[in-house]
Amino acid sequence: MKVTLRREPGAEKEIVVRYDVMDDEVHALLELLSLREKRLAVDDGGALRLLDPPEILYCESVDDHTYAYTASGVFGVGQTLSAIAEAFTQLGFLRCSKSMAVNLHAIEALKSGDNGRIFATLANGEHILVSRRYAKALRDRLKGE
Amino acid sequence: MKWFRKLYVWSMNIKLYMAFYFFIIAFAMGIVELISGGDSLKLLTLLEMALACTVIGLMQIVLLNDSVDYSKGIVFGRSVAWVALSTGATVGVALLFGWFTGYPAWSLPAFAAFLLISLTLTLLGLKFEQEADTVYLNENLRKFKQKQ
Repeated sequence: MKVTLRREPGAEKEIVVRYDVMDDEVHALLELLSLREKRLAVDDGGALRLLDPPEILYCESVDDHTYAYTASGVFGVGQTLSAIAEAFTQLGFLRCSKSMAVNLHAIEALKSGDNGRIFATLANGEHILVSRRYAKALRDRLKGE
Repeated sequence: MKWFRKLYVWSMNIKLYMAFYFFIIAFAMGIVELISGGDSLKLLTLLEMALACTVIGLMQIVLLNDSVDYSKGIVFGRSVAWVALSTGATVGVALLFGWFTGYPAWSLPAFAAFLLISLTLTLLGLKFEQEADTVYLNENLRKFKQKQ
């Protein structure tokens, strides 16, 4: 891919991506830019869509594929779960198990479980389990530590 | 080696409960011993008690696993099964190793009743702990959402 940087005094910062076919390389570039813009690029039936983090309930990794779950549907994501959790930490995302990162703002209620585990009820009524390994991180995060 | 590691981690996880149950059983046996005019328990009996505590802990892991919700009460199928089976297993161990041989006839039923009540109170303690933690978690969640 050819990269051109042009300095124009007084010009607004702008990124223009020229492409013939929306291939993996363009996808990867847009996903990278979306993380920088604190939005998540997802595959919406073949078209690229940018999700605002508050829309996302949680992200899950299934068989080496990552999916973002919103109230309106499930979307494939090109990024890894770790990359999403790290990029959106400040926006309230937290790794809650080996295969899941949850948006803390999407949690309606929490319930203490046995052996240090925590059950979370999401805005759409779904229940997820925060494993003991990640429960401490959740507790610390909620306390602001 | 993998199974040993798993067993070791499991043992570590239930060690507090095992210690608690050991205290309950040793206390009950101690009271029976005192009333009967004695003032000591055999080391072998203590080891047998530890075995009974392992059985109780194992059944707790199996029957009262992480999905148990005490918010609706402590009396439900698996909790009743745990209390009954734990009491039964401990009484079985006591009979097997003759803990009450030479003691008055009332000592074994009294020991079983004490154990039954203690385990039920343990469930009540777990319920109170879970409820308090749930309130604490939701309060922190509310504060977190307000701050962000």
